[in-house]
Amino acid sequence: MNWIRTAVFLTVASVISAVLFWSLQRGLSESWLTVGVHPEVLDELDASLQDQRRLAELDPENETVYRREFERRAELMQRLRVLRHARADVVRRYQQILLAIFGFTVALVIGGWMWRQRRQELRLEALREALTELARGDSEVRVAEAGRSRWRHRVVGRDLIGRIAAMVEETSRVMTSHRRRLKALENLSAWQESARRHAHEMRTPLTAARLELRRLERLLSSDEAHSVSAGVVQELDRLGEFARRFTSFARLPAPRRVRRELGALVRDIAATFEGAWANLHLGVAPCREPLEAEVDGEMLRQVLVNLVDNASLAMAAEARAGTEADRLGAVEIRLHRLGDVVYLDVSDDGPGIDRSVRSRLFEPYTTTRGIGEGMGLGLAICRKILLDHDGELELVDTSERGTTFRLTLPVASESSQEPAQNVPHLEEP
Amino acid sequence: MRRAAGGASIGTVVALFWTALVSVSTPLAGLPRLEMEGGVLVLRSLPPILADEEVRSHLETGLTTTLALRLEARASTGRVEGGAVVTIRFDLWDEVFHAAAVGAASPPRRLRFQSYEDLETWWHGLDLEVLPATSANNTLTQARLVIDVVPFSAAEAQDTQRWFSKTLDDAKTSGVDDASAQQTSDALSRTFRLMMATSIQRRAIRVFRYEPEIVRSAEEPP
Repeated sequence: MNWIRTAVFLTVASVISAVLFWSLQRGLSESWLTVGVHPEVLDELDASLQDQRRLAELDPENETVYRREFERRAELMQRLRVLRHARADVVRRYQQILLAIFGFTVALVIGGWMWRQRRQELRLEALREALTELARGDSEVRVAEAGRSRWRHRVVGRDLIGRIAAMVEETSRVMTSHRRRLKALENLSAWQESARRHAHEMRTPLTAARLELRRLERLLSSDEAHSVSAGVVQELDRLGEFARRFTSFARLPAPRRVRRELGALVRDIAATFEGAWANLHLGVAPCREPLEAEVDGEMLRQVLVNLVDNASLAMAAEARAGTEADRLGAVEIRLHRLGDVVYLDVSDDGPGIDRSVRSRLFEPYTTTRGIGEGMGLGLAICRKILLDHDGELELVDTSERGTTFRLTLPVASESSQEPAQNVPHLEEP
Repeated sequence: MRRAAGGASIGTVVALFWTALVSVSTPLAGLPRLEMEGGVLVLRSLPPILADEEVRSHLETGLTTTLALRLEARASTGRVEGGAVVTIRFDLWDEVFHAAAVGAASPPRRLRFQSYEDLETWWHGLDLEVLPATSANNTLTQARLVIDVVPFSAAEAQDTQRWFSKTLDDAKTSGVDDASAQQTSDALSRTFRLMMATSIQRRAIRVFRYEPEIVRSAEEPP
């Protein structure tokens, strides 16, 4: 109904403007031609023709010249006379052209307006659907386009609807990210609780076994008994280390976040561990701007060392397999900022991660190493650290040419603590 | 009965309208005559339309006045149409009239007259073949003659169209300094000029209608 009312209004408005335009332009369009073919102009030309004739009579020697001039003027006069005869047609055609231009312009304006209205309606509809999805708690909501197959309209834009759509997308993105993070934290909490129980269950009998072994050592003083006892102690120590790792995963402390310039921090870490891995070179790509984030430097160091360590182990395994025995690998850390987040990309040129473990890479106890070589807690701990920093740890790319992990950290807000230049480097060894 | 009465009244209205039209547009002089001559229908005693004030004033402008004569008649075979054209142009320098008459069955006749009076005399005595020789000519029962007075020739119209288009182009070129703007509007401008120039069309300034008298020779059957 509203649509019909608008259409009627537009039609009436167009007709009124056309009538007004017609009546106004009539006076204008007639006048210019009337001036051009005014009888006075013709009379003057006629008089000038008579003058030429008289001149020819008075000066017969130059008759040719006068005649030529006479004919030129006569030609002009005749054209003006033809124009005078056709004046009504010319004026009518001129008015028709003006009216056609006016009509075309009006049609263009109305068409454009109607198209815009329709577009806005479609975009609003898309926005409404997106909001419904958002309210339903669906995964990441996109409101990129509205309309059907042929005429699709971008919903996100610079106008009000576009800005709202962008906000909806952003909200959805944040919600999805939070949901994912929450789920990961819940999973990790469950794993941590499980690890804590395992560690507790293991520690009690281990302590008792150690005490009993010491008593046994005192009772049996032979060399053979001491030798057997040392072997048992070694195994018990391994079990103890196993339990300690469980404990360290279960009791991962909350980060003590301080505002730091990440470029400097990463360069410090790289310099400290420069010679730690014999089979690779660790480098930091230069960063164009200072990137500040609130981080626990010690934990960030732990994460970076863990990632580089994993790369080193993978390269060593590759060397053992004999494919590239003498190769010196490379790990590079690149920092860059996009909006309110800082990315630390840790890339190596190792053999890549096995396809079978990629999907559960950050789950605890996921490892590609042999039994006794690792518990598969490193990446789970690293991710937990990043999540505790309101960030994320992701596997960005992996292939036989290398692997890239991305650490995401929020940029330090203006109101956060001063940079850490003024506080002591607690995490430095 | 009512239908017959209605038909009669429509016929009366049409007849009255035609009579009124003819009486308004026809000068008071005598009717032109259609005569058979060697099987060809010849129009004689042309009405003195050159003396008409509007036509007379136009004759000496230097433009070519075209007198287009159209004949419609009824014959035993049905409706027949014929015509002829007479053009008159006044030479402004020499002050003489150039006239040409083109009939339906004879080659064009070109003549030169020193004065308007000579021209008028020639016009009045002019025999124009308006229908070529056909057997139907003898059976004409009713004829209508329409003479359109067109103020300028097709050549003059075309010449003026070209000149007008060029004048508009000159006006546009002198009004626009920016070369790129000129280039952009060029296509539109050409279309505009073409539309404006082609609006110059030949139209009759006067239309005369007659019902010529059909004169049959004694030896020819009706």
